[in-house]
Amino acid sequence: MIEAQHVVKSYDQGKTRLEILKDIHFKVENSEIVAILGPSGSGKSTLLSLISLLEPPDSGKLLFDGVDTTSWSESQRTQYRGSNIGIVFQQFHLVPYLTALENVTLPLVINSKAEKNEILERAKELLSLVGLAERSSHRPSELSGGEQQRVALARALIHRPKLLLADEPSGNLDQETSSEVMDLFFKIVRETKTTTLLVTHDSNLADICDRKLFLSKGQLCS
Amino acid sequence: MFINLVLKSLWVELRDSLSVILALSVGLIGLSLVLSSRTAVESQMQNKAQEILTSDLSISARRIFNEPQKEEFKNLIGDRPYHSALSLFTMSTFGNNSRLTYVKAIPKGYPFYGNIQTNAGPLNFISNTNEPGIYGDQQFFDQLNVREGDKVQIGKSYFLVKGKITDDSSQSFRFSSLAPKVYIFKDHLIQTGLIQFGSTISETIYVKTRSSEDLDALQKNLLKKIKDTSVRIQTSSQAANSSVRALSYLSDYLGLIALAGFMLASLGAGFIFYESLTKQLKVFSIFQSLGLSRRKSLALLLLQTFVLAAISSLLSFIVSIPLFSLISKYLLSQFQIEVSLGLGVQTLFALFTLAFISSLLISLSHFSALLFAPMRSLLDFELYLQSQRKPLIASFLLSLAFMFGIGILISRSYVISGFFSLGLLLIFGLVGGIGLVFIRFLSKLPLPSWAHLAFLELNGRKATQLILLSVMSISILLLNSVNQIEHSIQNQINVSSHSEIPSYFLFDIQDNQIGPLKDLVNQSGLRLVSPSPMIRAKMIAINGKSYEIETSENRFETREEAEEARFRNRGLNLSYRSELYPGEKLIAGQPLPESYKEGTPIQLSVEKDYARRVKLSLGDSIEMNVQGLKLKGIVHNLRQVSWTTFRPNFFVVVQPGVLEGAPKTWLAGISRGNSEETQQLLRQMDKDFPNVSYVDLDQAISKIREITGQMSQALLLTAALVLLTGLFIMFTTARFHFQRSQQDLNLIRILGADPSFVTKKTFTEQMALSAMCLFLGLLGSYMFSYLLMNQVFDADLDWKWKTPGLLTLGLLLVSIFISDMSRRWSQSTSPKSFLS
Repeated sequence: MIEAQHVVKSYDQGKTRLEILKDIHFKVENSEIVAILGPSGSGKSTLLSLISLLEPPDSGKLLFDGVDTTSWSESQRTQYRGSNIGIVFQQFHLVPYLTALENVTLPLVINSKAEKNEILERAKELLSLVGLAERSSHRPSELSGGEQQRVALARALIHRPKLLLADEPSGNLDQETSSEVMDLFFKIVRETKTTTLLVTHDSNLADICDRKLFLSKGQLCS
Repeated sequence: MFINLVLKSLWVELRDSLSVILALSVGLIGLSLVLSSRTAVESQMQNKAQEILTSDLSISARRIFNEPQKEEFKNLIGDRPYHSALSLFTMSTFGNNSRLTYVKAIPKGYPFYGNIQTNAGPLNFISNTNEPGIYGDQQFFDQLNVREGDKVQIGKSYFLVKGKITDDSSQSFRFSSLAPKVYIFKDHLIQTGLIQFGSTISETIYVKTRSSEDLDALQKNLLKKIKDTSVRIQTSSQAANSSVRALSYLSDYLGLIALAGFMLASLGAGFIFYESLTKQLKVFSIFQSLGLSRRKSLALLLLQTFVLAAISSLLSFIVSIPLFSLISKYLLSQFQIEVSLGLGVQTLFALFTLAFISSLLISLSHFSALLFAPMRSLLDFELYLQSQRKPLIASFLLSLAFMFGIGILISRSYVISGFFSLGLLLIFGLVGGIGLVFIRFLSKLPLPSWAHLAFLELNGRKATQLILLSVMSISILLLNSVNQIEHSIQNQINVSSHSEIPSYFLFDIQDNQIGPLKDLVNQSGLRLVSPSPMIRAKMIAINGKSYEIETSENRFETREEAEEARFRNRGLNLSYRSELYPGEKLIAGQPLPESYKEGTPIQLSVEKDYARRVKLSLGDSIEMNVQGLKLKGIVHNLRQVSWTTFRPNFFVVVQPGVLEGAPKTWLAGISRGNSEETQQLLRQMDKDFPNVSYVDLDQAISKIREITGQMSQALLLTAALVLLTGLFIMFTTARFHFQRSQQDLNLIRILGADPSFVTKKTFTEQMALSAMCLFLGLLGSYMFSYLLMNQVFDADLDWKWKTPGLLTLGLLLVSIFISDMSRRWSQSTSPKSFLS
């Protein structure tokens, strides 16, 4: 599904240039759930931003289903992301003025991928799946942290992405809520056979994944 | 330590701080400048009024006072200097030429104020001699064709023409005062034999009061003591009312501008300040989480408000110094108003107090939030707005009350200030009632996804939209109102364009002269403009109810009643025609029929202000006495007349076919031509029609044109300043709105929205907001301007369509600019910041 070949990414910091990712090389198969572990500052977020096609690498290749994305324009990357990638954030990032249902429909609304009724049906289905059918008309400020993250999960899955990226999805939740949400998370991704990359600090969570990648000082080690 | 924190936060949020300071400063500078200018204009009005009346107060009657009355007035006037003058209309004759002339018989030392300049020196320095002498104006010289040294007959006496009046500061613009005017000394009037039983001679006692004296109180006292209701007591400002009307409009308008500008700037500064404080609520929540007590948080916020108000007032003060000097120069060069616009510590203190109190009222809800709200609401703006509904309403109402109070101080009128405050309330009502409902409706429509999302966002942020829509709508309301009122006032004061005004106005044309006169004028290559028959009549009854008022001695309790009786019993001049003259507009009813059918009611056209004064409306019946014959007519239409076209016109016009046989004279104008042709025509007219009098309109109008031209400039300048302030406020409010949307824009980019989606969504949002603000603001402004013009300026609103057009264009440009800026911001910010 994804293949990174000798990926390098640097940023300017003042007058110096910092190399965040150094010669990253890995492969993730279809339906595989892979955890990316690493201390703060190891380059996890940068790697996630490359895989989510938010920015291109400086050098190396990033292949999706065998297609090299490194030369894609921003518009092509956006289009691919909108159709094939779902993202779950640590901070949930729900739109505060939209209801839970409207938040879930957002990716399909933006990309005009389906009829309105169809979108609503799918969103309701997903909200039921994450156990929030009764809370569909509530705004994020009226939901608990766990509920917000479940809405975020539903939003990330509504367009049936090939790849799900989860950035510390339980980082903002207490232990009990975290395990509830993550149980649900794994249940859904396994059932839907969605290729998943999970960035986490939590080694217990990483243990549930099919495989673990360790990132340290911008380099990957198995 | 606190002050350090405050200064740091102001520095870090420099753009916000500068916006607040700029908006507050603009408001404060504008306020102090406009108010100072108004004080100068008012002092000019006062001087001008004294020059027109030639004294501070006058006691007059259309007769000569008897000795007991003179004694009574002398006692009442006390030790104040006074003198009396007599005036009358009579014929002056030189050779074969006779003209109706306004004769003013003055005492030595006249006038107290102003200057009546003759080529022999100022009139008040000229000594009386035994030989009767006369000083005439240009009209007198032209129409009687006299020169200095000639002798002119007035009554039984011959007067030596001693000099020409070159400048008369008492000359006001009234049609009656456009007849040739001469000054003679009072002693010589008796010799003319014109003072006899049945003559209409007016006597006026001119009083110079002490400089600190309250004229209104003195007038009130005199009115109470002088029981004779036919005696008129006027202060200078009342006497000069119509002549200084233009300046009075300017003064009122400046008050209005000051108020509108202040409200606009307060709104803008308030909004920006509110937004910048809201941004900092997060910081306050951090401070509180670190152990800062709620009370200390409050102290910190108070300190911040204090610092902002202090910087703004200091900045306004500093910037005002050179600006005041510029304004002084402008007033001196344009209006010959000498004024020293002073700035002292008191001004600085007043500016600071104003800025501080306004800021406190605006941040009332923040104070409440810091003291009572759960900390969580400090982190989420929508949550904050929801939890602070009551304090927000209280803050709004208190700010409104404060503005109302300041409004009274600025406009010196409860009515104007009340109208403004009501206008603000109206807009909030409209925004809440129409704006938000409409947004909700739009959010439910099946629209393209970007539009749908835009309306969902607008609908989702109701509280923000309420504030934003209100601020922008009110800005539009104030901007459009200021311009509409400015345009209407311009129309009230401005003389019609030069080409529309006849060069001379002719009167006393006999019925048998009109044909030959027309021929003579045509032969000269000129044209007789709007020749109009004039028939004397008297109004007897309206809708069967007697109109005249009996004027027997001691019948009236008040002078107003006596004045009303005189107005009603005065004759009414009628004319007949069916067509409308240039400068006329039908405002109700249909045009008059072109001919009269025997047995049908006679149709009348009535001028609208006259109709208002005598309470006439369409369909009312009027009974008139036309030289002994009773005539009954029906009000068929109401006309608006632009009197500044200086064409003959009448309050009541009768349909053709009724009055043609009645004895009448004619009025007419002479069209514009080259000076030589016109002078030749006048010379021929003097020979062929010696009884026809004429007035040189150019000479009469030139002074008015000069003043109104300068005023127009001042009005436009101030309106433009308000417009600029308004656009700045609108831009700033919109900028804040989109700054807040940045996070959401980034999110939708991550979820797959391409740049064009972002642009379309932002543009739709901005356009929807602008359109709604335009609609609500313009709707409110037309209602508001209409009421204000009718109730305060006592004039009609003349719609100006250019301003709404400019506002639409301005908002469109702001929308495009903001959308583009928003897209750039969103592209320049990396969505990567969403990742942990």
